[in-house]
Amino acid sequence: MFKDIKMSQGRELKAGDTDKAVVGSVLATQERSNVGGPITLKGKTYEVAGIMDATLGPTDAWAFVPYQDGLNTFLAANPFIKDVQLVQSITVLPKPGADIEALAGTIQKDIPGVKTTSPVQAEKQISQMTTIFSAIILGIAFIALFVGGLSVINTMIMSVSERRREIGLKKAIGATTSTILREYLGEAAMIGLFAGAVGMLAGLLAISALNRATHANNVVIFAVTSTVILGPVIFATILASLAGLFPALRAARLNPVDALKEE
Amino acid sequence: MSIVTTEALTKIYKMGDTTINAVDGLDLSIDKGEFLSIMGTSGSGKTTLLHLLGCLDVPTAGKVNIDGVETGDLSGAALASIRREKVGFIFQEYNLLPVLSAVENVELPLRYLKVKPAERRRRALEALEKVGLSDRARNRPSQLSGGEAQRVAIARALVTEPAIVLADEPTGELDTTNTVRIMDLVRDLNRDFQQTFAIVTHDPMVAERTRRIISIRDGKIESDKVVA
Repeated sequence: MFKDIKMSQGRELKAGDTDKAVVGSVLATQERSNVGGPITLKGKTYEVAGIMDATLGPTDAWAFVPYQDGLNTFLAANPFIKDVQLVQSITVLPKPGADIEALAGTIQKDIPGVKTTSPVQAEKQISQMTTIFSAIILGIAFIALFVGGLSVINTMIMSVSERRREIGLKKAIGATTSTILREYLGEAAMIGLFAGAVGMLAGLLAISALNRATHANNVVIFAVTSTVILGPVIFATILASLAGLFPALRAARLNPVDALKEE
Repeated sequence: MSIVTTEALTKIYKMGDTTINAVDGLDLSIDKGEFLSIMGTSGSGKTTLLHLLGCLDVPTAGKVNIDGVETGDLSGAALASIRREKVGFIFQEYNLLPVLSAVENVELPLRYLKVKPAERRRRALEALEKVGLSDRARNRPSQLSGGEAQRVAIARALVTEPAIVLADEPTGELDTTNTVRIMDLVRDLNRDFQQTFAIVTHDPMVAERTRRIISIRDGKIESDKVVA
């Protein structure tokens, strides 16, 4: 699986190595490791045999050590495990042209106690996980949208209802229903636009902080595109306008005398 | 020349089973340049009459003619245009918009008349000068005294040079000194600019400063006296 990673400095591990480590590029930078120098991993000091090329994957933060060294570290950390022949997984690299699915089936059938995962099965598992994850994220987003939308609607209804007297006065001095409607819808849209822009700014700050935090592992969690920026702001503007429409319409249609009586 | 006339003007309110004839078949004629008060106890129908005269409310029956326009069959938008062009209102509680400065409050009716900003500002400042408040133009209503706020409201009513200014208890929130001041100001505006004023009040001190006193009782004219 990791065979394709090239060394940028030093050499790969070879059979018979002990107390030697091959270090990922990010880890090497963090630990200020040089080939031939020491590196301490889980309380044990190794000699750096090689430093790997950056792959932009998780291995950049990993280190590889010889099997026996790794097993010793593992057993020291988990004293309740007695079986020193412990193997968690073996990666099988088939020859070009081999039928991988059939090979996986054969291995599982012939070697007792081994469960194989073929590439097709692995893909299925990953896509299942991704689907569940997406559904959770989407669900949270919808709840946030629903709650946020309701509070926007509530705020707009309150703010227009509070100003019925003002609307009454404006009608008394000659504003028509459509003028009032335009004024208050425009205001609602401006509130939505402003609030959307402020929210977007806060979101961008949070995203850039998160992306900076995960940058060390070369993972970009949030991609910021123009759709991501403009979409929510436009949505907030439209939502606020729609939320303002109903109370504004009701207030604008009021008989000015009744509107002026409001306290 | 009559500027406002009513003919058998009637407004009936229904409250459950009881009907109230707030204004009851009332005939009235107001000439240009008049300075009159409409007196009555609370519930006499004087405020309802004022609302009908100003097209703020629609009559149940009868007619209102303002500056040559019959208002009976007009739509909401057309009534708004009458209020915009021909009527100025002064309220008891001033009804200034708190977020606007004095001069911006005065400009508001001109905005609905689609007057250009520079012209608007010039006319608003002119109206503030007429009420003696040029130096308070930039102040917010919260920074004005009650008397000053009402003078701003008067300037707002005057700024469109309406056919008639209708005032509903304009001194209701003011002390005696300010009441006298406001009434003197209105009298001067009437004399100097031939501005027609109709003032609804229950305060005899206000009424006796006008030149014609109409008393209303149960929605009908009880007396109509011209004061020397």
